[in-house]
Amino acid sequence: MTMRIWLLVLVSSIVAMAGVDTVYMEISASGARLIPVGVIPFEKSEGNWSMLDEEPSQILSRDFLLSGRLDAINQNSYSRLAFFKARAAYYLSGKLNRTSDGKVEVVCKLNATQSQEMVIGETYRIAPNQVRQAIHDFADKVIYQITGSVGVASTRIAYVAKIEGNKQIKVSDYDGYNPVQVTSHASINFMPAWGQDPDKLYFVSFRNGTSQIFERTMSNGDVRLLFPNLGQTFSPAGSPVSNEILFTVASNGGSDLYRGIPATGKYERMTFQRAAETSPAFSPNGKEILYSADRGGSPQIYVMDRDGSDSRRITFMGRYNESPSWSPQGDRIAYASMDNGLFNIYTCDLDGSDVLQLTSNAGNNEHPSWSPDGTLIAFSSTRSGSSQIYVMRKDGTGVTRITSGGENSWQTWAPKLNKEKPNE
Amino acid sequence: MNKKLFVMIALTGLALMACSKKPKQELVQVDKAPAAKVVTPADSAKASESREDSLKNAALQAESLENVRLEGQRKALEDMMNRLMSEEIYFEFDKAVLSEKAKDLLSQAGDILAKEPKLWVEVEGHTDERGTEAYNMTLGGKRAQSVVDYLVNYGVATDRLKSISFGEEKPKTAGATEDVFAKNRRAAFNVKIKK
Repeated sequence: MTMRIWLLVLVSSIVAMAGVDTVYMEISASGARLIPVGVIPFEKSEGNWSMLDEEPSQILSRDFLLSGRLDAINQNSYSRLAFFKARAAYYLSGKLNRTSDGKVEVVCKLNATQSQEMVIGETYRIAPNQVRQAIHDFADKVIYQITGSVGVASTRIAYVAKIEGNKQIKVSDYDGYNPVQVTSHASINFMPAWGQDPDKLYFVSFRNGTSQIFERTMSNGDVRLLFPNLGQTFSPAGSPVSNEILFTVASNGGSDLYRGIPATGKYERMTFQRAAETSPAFSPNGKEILYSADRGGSPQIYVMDRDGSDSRRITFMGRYNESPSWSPQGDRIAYASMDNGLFNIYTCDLDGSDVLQLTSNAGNNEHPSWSPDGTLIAFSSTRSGSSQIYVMRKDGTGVTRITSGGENSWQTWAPKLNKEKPNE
Repeated sequence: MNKKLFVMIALTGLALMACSKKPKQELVQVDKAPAAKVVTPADSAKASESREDSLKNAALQAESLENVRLEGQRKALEDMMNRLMSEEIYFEFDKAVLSEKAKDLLSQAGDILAKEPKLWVEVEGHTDERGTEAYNMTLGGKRAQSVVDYLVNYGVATDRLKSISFGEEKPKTAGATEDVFAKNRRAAFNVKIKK
């Protein structure tokens, strides 16, 4: 016992000494340790509320479910007994009012169950179509108040949707609502990736007959071809710390990885082997790069320094490992592994150890993408028949579908909230 | 093609300068799209009115005959290459190696290419739907490159061949059976006439 305490002190002091890097306090995202929070329906003033696709209490409950941290305890009205039975020390309430200037006033409150006193509150005066946005914002404030870490309810995702037979890029709220189609060219448009600047969305399109990377500025809808003299390019990936992107260039008998700056058009080749390297992804500090390579005959995941040096293999289990993605905390790698033609999502440590299988026996599960807070993984799955986008906690629990209808895949989580103009 | 076109334009231009005040657009039109112009009997009748027009039409007629022949060769070669690669020859799963039969048929295609220097070929590489989109882009590229490499070794100039990967994005057949997968693991060809 004493020994253990000593060890703890020792470890703590090492962490303190190495204090240059941020030390993350881990709030467990495991299903067993969700924090219950009471939710009751919002009061509504007289008038027409048909523009609401969901009640605020439903939006909040879904935000809590998707947060992987909170559990909504829904009641029709305040019930001290029911909230205490569920161990909910806090509950949410609110009110919607129509104002004389055609706007909506959204009053949101987080209250203590015992005293019914307000802990935090917020009043939003917004356009009628912005109610969801306001509720998401308050959900994030509640998540921060209760767990001490920032939520993702106000984030967005980009993904690929099949529309009239063509792959097109859509951007939606993180919960699948408010989808906006941002490409419309009748060719293949896919592989969306966000830059560090959330106003920049990168994607691949065959609109000129071959695959090329384009940059879309979300705020004004401008679309620009990048690196036009490199031939076939694909698989773009943004940097979390700079304006660089990583991408793949087809070469004789394979493909190579490049690092480039869209703003200047400058680029640098990073790999020189006669093999297929693709699917690059930056580490959270931008110093290292994950990628896949088929040096051994089938794709496996490797890591190298940002200049292409010091390459080493990470995955050894399974024949076909692809689509690596580095967790925002930097401690885990998510990837997709194919067995008998079907993919499943896995995570592992940076050296390939401690492999954790997150999906199984549920169709094809691909394209893992971490939430900006590192608690969730979005992925595409054919478990319901068609390919749709799902979100789960990083331990594989709490799987929730966020798209329906058609075919949706290849989602990628934006770094933070961004506003944009619809369509190109 | 270029030489003939040049001569034709030069002749037309001379004739125009020599005896008439035809509007300039005529010349521009000839310059723009001689290959696309089909000479009909009605056209010929009108053209016989003046010497410059009949000169022009003779040139156009020769040009269009050559174009028809070339288009026929192009189509024949494209059909043959697509037949040999997508209906008779498949790639194995996750492989880009050409079979002996594929090599034999590609040699025939190489012979036609040797006789028709005006033709060039865009080789498309395709995969089945299994695997990730990104890795399949590289695999499709390898398949297209295998075909290009073989034809280059056979003697076709590299500037007459271009490889392009479509990964798993353009399946020939929809479905998720072994047969469908096998049909989709292919190379496809677009035979083009040099401009």
